[in-house]
Amino acid sequence: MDIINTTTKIKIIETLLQNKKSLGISSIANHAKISVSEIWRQISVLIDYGLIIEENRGPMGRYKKYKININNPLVNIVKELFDQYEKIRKFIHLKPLDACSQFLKKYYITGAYAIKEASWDIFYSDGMMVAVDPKEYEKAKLLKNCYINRWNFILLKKPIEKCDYFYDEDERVFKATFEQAIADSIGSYQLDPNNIEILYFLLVENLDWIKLRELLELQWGDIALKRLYYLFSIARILGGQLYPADIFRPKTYTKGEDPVYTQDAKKSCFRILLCNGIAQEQAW
Amino acid sequence: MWNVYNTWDWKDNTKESIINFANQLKFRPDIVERTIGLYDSIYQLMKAEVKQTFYGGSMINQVYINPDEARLSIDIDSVIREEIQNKRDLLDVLVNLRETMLSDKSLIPITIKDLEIGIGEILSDTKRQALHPQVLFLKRILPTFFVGTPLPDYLSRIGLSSKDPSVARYLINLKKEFGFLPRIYELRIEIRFSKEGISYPFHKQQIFPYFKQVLTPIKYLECDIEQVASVAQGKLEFLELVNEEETINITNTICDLRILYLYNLDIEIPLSIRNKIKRIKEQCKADFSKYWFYQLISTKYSFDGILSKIFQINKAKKSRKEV
Repeated sequence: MDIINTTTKIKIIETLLQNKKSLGISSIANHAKISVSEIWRQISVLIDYGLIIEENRGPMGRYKKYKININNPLVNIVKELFDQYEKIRKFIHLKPLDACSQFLKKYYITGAYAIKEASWDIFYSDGMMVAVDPKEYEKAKLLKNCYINRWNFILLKKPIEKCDYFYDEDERVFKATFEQAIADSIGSYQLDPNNIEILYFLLVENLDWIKLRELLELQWGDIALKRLYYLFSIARILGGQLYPADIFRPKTYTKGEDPVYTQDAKKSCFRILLCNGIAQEQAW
Repeated sequence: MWNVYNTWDWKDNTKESIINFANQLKFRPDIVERTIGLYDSIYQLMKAEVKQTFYGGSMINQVYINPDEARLSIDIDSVIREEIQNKRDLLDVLVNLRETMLSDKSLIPITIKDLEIGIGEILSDTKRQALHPQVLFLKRILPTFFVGTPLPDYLSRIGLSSKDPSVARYLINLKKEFGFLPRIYELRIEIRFSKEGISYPFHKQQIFPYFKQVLTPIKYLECDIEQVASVAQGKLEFLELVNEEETINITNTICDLRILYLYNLDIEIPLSIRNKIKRIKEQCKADFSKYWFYQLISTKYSFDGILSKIFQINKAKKSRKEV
C-alpha cells in the first residue's frame, strides 16, 4: 500500500479530508507541519492513484491547488480509516477507567474490579468487567479491541436502566454497587471465571441480601440464584452456619447442575473459609 | 414449636406429651427427647445419596439388644461403602441432603437480622472435624424443650447476641408465639469412609427406637446395619486399642459386648483384653452407676454381672475348643 506507507502521505490525506476546500502546497505543509519540499516529493503518488485532484489556478498552471477526490472508492476506505483512527487516538493513551468514562455514556464498571479496592485489594482480578447498554456495545467492543494487549475488558451487554450503579467521584466513572457487582459476577460466571474471586467479598461482608436477591432474579434469573444458593449451602455445611442460603433458594433446584461453577465455587469457598478460620484447616 | 421430625407425630412433640412419656417410663424428659431426635436423625441420614452401613452403640442397642435393657447411646455412626477420597468428596452429598431435608420440611430456615439459622439442619462439627481425616464429624441442630442450650445462649455462641435489638425482638416474638423459649440440642453424627470403601458385613434390618413400648414413631426405619458378629469383633478390636483412661468408652463397649452371649457368638476374648479390663474394672464400675445412659441397663444388670457372663461364655467356648 504505497498510498499510506509514510506519515507524510497520511498527513496530506488527513489535512485535505479535514479541510473541505482545495489547498495549495504551502497551506498543506502548514497544516500538516511538514516541509514544503517533502509534500512536493510525496504528493505525486496520491495524485497518480487519483486520491487527490490537482486544480490549476494560476497562469500557465504554475500555481496549483489540491483537493480530495471524493468519487475515488479508495477515499471512502481511507476516510473510514481516519475516522476510526480519530476515535481511537482520543483514548488510546488514557488509563482504562478514563477511557471508559470519556468514550462511553451508558456503562458501569462491575464485577470483581468494582469491589477490588473496597476489599483492600485482597483478591486478584486481571480483567475489568464493564456492563454496557446495547446501544453502546459496538463502541465498547472497539475499546476492548484496542486495549486487547494491555488490558482485559470483559463486556456485559445488558440494558442498564434497572441496574444498581452510581457515579464514583474519586475515579470519575460509573461503578456498580457491591450487590450489583456480585450479581453480575455470579450471573456471568462463564464469561470470566476469574470473577469467582468476588466470592471472597460475598463470604466476608454483610451485604443487603434482599437487594442482591432482587438483582439476581431480575437481571440473571434462576441460574444465578442457584449459584449463590449452592455457595451458601456449602458455606453453611462447612461451618459458616449463619450464611443466608434460604433467601437465594431458586424456584427449582436440580441437583448436580452447573458442574464447572460448583467445582470452582467449592475450591474458593474452602480457601476463604479456611483462611478465615471458619472451617478447620487440617479437617478438609 | 418448630417441627423438624419426619418420623414422629407432631402432636407427640409437645412439652406436655414428653413429660407424659417420661412419667410413664419413669425417666427424665430430656432422655426421651434425645431418643426422639436420634431416631429421626437416622432417618434423615438415610436420605443421603450414598451407600452407608449404620453401626456403633446406638445401632447395637436399638437393634440387637432388648430395649428394656439397652445402654442409651445417643449418637449416630455410619460407614460409607463407596470409595471416598476425602471429606471434600462428601460435600455435594451433604448439599443434596440439605436440599432434600428442606423439601421434606425436616429443616426449617429461620432468619434473624439478615442471618439464617437452620433448625434441624445437619452441619459440620467444626470443633471436632480435625480429629480424624477419614471421619466426617457432623451435628444436627435440633429444637428441644429440656435438653441442650437455651436458645439465647446458643444464638450468642454462634454470634447473635441477645443484646442486639433485632435478636432481642426476635426472641420476644418467639416467646409470644411458642409460650416459651426453646433449647437447641446438637446431636452428634460420625461418618467413616476410606479410599477403598469400608465393607463391614451388613444386612437390612428394622430399627425400633428406645422406649418402643411407649414411643411409637409414625415411620419405622429399615436400613443397612452391621452384622452382629462383625460388631462384636469391632468392639473387641476397640478394646485392644483404647487407652485405659477412657473408662466410659470401655464401660460402653463392655455393655455392648453382651451381644457375645445374647447371640451365642463364637468369638474369643483375647487374654490381653481380659487383663486390661481386670486392671480398670473398679473404675468402670464407678462409671456404670453414675451416668444417665446406663440407667436402663443398670436396672437389670450389674457391671460385674455383665463381665462375669462375658468371661464365663468365653471360658466355656475355650474349653469346648480344647476338648
